[in-house]
Amino acid sequence: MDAGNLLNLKNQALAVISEAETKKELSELKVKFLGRKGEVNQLLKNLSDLDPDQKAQTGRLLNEAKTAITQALRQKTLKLSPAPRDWLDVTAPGKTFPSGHLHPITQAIEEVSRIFERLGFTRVRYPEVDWDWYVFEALNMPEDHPARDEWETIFIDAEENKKMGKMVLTTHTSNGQVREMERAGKTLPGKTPIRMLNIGKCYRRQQDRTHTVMFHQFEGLVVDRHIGIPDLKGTLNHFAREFYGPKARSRIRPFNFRFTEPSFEVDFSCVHCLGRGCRFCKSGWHEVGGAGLVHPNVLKAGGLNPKVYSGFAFGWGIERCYTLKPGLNLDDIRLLYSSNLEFLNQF
Amino acid sequence: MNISIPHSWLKEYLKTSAGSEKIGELLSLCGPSVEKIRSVAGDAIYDIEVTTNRVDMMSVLGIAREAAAILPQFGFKAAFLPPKLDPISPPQTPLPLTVKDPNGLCPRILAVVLDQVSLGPSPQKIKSRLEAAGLRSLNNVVDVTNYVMTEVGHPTHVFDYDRVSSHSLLLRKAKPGEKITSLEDKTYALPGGDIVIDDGSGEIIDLPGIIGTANSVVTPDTKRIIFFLEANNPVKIRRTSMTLGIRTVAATLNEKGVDPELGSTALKRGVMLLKELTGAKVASKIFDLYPQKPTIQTIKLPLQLIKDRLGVDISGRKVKQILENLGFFFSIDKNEQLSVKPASFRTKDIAIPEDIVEEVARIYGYHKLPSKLPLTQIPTNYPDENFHLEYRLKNILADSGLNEIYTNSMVSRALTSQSGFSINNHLKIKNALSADWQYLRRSLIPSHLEAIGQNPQAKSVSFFELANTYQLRPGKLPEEKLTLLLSTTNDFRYLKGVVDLTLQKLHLAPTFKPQNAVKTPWLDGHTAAIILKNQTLGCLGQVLTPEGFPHKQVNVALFDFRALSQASRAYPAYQPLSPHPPIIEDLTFTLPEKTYLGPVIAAIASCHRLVKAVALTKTYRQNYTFNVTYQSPTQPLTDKAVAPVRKKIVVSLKQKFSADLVGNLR
Repeated sequence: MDAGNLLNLKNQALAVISEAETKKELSELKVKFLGRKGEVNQLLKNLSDLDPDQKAQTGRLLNEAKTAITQALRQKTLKLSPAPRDWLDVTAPGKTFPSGHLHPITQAIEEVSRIFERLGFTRVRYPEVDWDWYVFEALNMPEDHPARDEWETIFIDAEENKKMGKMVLTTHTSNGQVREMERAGKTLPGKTPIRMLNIGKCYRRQQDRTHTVMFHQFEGLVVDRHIGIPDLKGTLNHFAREFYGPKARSRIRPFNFRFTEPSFEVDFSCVHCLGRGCRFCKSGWHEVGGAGLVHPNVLKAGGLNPKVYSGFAFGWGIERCYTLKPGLNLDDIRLLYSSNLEFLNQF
Repeated sequence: MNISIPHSWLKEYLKTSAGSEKIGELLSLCGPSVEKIRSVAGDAIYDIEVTTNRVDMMSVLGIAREAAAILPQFGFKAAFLPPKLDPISPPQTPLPLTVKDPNGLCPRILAVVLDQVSLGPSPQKIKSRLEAAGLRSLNNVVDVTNYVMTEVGHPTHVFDYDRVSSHSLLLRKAKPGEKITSLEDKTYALPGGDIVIDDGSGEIIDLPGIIGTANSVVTPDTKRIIFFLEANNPVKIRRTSMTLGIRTVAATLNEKGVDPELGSTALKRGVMLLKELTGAKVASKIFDLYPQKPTIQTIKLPLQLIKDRLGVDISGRKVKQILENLGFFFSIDKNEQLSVKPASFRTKDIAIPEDIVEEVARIYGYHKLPSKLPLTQIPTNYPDENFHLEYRLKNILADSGLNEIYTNSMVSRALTSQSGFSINNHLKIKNALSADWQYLRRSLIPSHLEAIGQNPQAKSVSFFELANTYQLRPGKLPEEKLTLLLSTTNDFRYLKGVVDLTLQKLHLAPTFKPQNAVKTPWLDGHTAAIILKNQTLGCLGQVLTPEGFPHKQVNVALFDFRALSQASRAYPAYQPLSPHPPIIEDLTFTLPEKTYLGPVIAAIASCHRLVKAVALTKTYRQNYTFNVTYQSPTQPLTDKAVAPVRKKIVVSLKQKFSADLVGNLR
């Protein structure tokens, strides 16, 4: 037996298989070539007569031929099989599986976290019930300052701490700023690069279509040497594109917060009209919240030297950012906290 | 604070080629935010949000000055037109008046008497401008005070000269409990320490800077008036105004620190208008108690700081132009060190180099600054949190058919009583917005009962939530315990299945220990502790539902998230795959009543190393069928090899649980 014989056998087999017209023919061919006394096995028998070198090579070719014939037989069989006769309603509903839903706030928080994670921001969690010091005083807002009016603060009926002041429900996630500076001072002494993302529950005495007494904010804080307005603008633009789509842009306008200097109001371009102005946005822009360069007094309160370090911070409502998503059309955020199944099942 | 200003009024002090739309847009980009432009009787009315630090802009003049600095940056010609003020000449025989502030309570006081006042309505122009600014027109005298305040930004006041019969104004501090009756006829008891004006007899005749009192303000019979202005201590004004709840426009301006330098402009402008509108004549000398002009600090900073923060190589000349347009004094030395002295009306908000950075940046234009991602080092000092696991866990639960909810951390008194914790163990809110939100919760269970109850028509409701509970710690912040709660109207086995699945995915195999004598809201005998290596991860069971609850039962599973997070594993300990086929068989046992199945299954599983898996497949009365898989990693199993294992199981179950095998041992 030589390789030529083998190749002939294989080609002959493939040819007759492709010409077969019935399944019966195919099963006969299967016996003829691959059966116990089939032609392939006949050749195998002769294998023992060969010297070892040839034996190995021929053995391999033989196996290849066997595989090719088996494959051809299978394919041809499939081809000759008639389509299933029984009628199947492919439009009938599928089997029902349990289907719960992540709350939209969780979905938004996850999306925000991922966007900033890619920029190297570390997510943290700080107290929801905190001292006046972290919520206001350390943020350059002395007691009785008119700037505090805007926060609609909820106070806890608890003894005042001599150093830290009253106990309050955090009105914003900015209480994380000085806390993060303190943490960085402890964990990375003398280095203090900060890229913080603080997401948490906040509370204010307000409840209407666009405010809920409990809500969520996310706070970004970056502190290092030579941080300036361009770093903030770049970060805001990145978020706008990632959260609202590649065409979204951000802009900053002057504002005043005690804990940033300069301070900004942040707008994102309207996703409906791309900034031209339409019935959703009026001006082409949506105001989402505040930002600014960290005030030197805040850096000092966090134990950092403002002559060496600078930074930026921003803090916005998760609800506000989320409801601006194009096509969501959610205009009453109280629903988010209603535990209404009909609402939740949509997300 | 929002102010409304008509375009026509603004144009009296601003010369520009820009129209109202453009002015609104550009102010918003570089200065105060113009939120809306209304059109009233052919005039455009700007609705402007002015931030609390810019009391100097809460006026027509302030906005005009700001616009004059901003518009040229966009190629519009613009100039601020300062008011033209007539000098005041006192009469030859002045009417008597004394004004005293012996304790220096006000930085500046200005007063002048006018007579021959003829009270009447104001002209239409004044009326409609005041109305556009959100102020009510009363009569020409009162209107002048409001007009001057809106135009100049300095509150002013008018007394009836004859009703202050002593012709004497004495500034003093109020004693606690002293009473005043405001011009709106409301009586207030003063907290004490408030700055008041006394007529010399001990009677209070004004609460300066906040509101006039009924006993001294103008009446329809007024003929002679004292036109009075004072600069105030902003902290004191705020304290009195907030304590009494009197939030007049004057008070909201004064608590922000109005520039005393503005006083003379306001006085002169007021006198001009009083003459013009009421025919009044100046009848006294001008009192100007101004013991000390405020000093203005010079701020020094390197030009490099501005370049650094802006990310732009801005020239000293450009900075000079911007700052001078804002009324600041500017010099630069050869080392590019800047010395900047703000205008008097900006001393309150311009105090540090960063304030100068802001002024330059905003007028230069934030939109013109570059945008880049921070190039600094990325910190890796991660906190001890596992947000990834939180999200994964939530996904497992949602995929198992539960809906995530966010319920309020603040609860009503009624909900605290369902928590199993005494009301004294809750943090109480001092200024609750509603009775629904009076306490910080100790438990999520009452909140979920409420949430489930709010879905009465649903056939079944299954919720979960990951949120804090707040544990009181005297003298300290509360402990915020991150808690995971699963709740369902389905039966216990449903929930147990969800819990089993969830824990499996975290590669945990805890035991469930029946709990008796549990506290509310848990039901005795229907509750199990979830225990892993002597540590309690949580609790699972049926809870009490309130009266009239729309669902038959509620089962909950409660986890201490931190404990769960610490115990959880991201991957299993891999068990080698056996090349040998297993032997699988069913064994049915009759168990005595009230036998806990958990320990039975555990006993079978731990009986012999060949037992690879045990599952409960069927129950019929007291008969329980367990599907047992035997497998060896090293050899093919024969029935002969399995027989002694089987026997051991049967013996062990008999011993431990008095369980009888149904059928015979093979």
